[in-house]
Amino acid sequence: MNTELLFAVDTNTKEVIVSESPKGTNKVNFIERISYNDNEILYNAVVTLTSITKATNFDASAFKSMDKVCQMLYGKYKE
Amino acid sequence: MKTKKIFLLTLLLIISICGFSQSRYISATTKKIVFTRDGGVCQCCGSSYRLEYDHITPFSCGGSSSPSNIQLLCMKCNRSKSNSCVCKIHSRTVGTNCCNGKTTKKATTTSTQCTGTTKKGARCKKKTSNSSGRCHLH
Repeated sequence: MNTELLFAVDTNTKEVIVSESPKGTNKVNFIERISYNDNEILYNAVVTLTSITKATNFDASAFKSMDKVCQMLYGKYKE
Repeated sequence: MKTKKIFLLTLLLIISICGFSQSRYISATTKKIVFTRDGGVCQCCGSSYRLEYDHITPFSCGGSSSPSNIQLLCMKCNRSKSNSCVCKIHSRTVGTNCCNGKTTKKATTTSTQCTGTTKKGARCKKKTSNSSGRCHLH
C-alpha cells in the first residue's frame, strides 16, 4: 500500500469523490465519482465520515473506524 | 553508559522544546481528514482535479502540518499562492499569517573587508557587513 485512499462527498451532485495520494507526497490523484444511486451505503458512510471531520470535538478513533468502513465498502464495490 | 543515556534524553527534550522536530511531512491521517473535510475540491476555485495539500500558514513562515493548517488547493492555485496569502489567479485570500515571501530562517548577509587603515598605515583585515564598509574599530 503505497497510496492512501481518500473519500469525500459532493452534496450538490450526490456523489462520492474517490481519490488517492501517494505516500510522502502532497499530491492527490482523482480516481472516480460514484453516484448515490450506484452505491447508497457508501454514500451514507462518507456523509458520516464528513460529519465526523466537521464536528467541534474531533474524535480521531471514530474517524479511523469510519474510514476503514468506507475503504471496505469501496473494496466491495470494486469487486 | 548511564551518563550517555541522560545526555541523549536531555538532547531529545531540548529538541522537542525548541520545536526543531516540526516537519513539513503531512501524515496519512491528516491527508484523509483534510480531503474529507474540504469535500475533495480546491478551496479557492472548486476544481477537483490535480489537487495538492497546502499549508494555510506557509511552512516557511512557521506553519505546522496539523489538519487545522492544511487545505486542499489545485496545482494552479497552489503555485499562484506559493508562500504568500493570496491566489493571484482568482484574487482570493487562501492563507493566514504569511510572512510575504520572507522566511523565518536567518537571512545570510554578505561581509566585505574593512576599508579602514590601522595605526601602522596598513589595510584593516577585519570583515564587516556595515553599509559604510568599515568595521567597528574604524
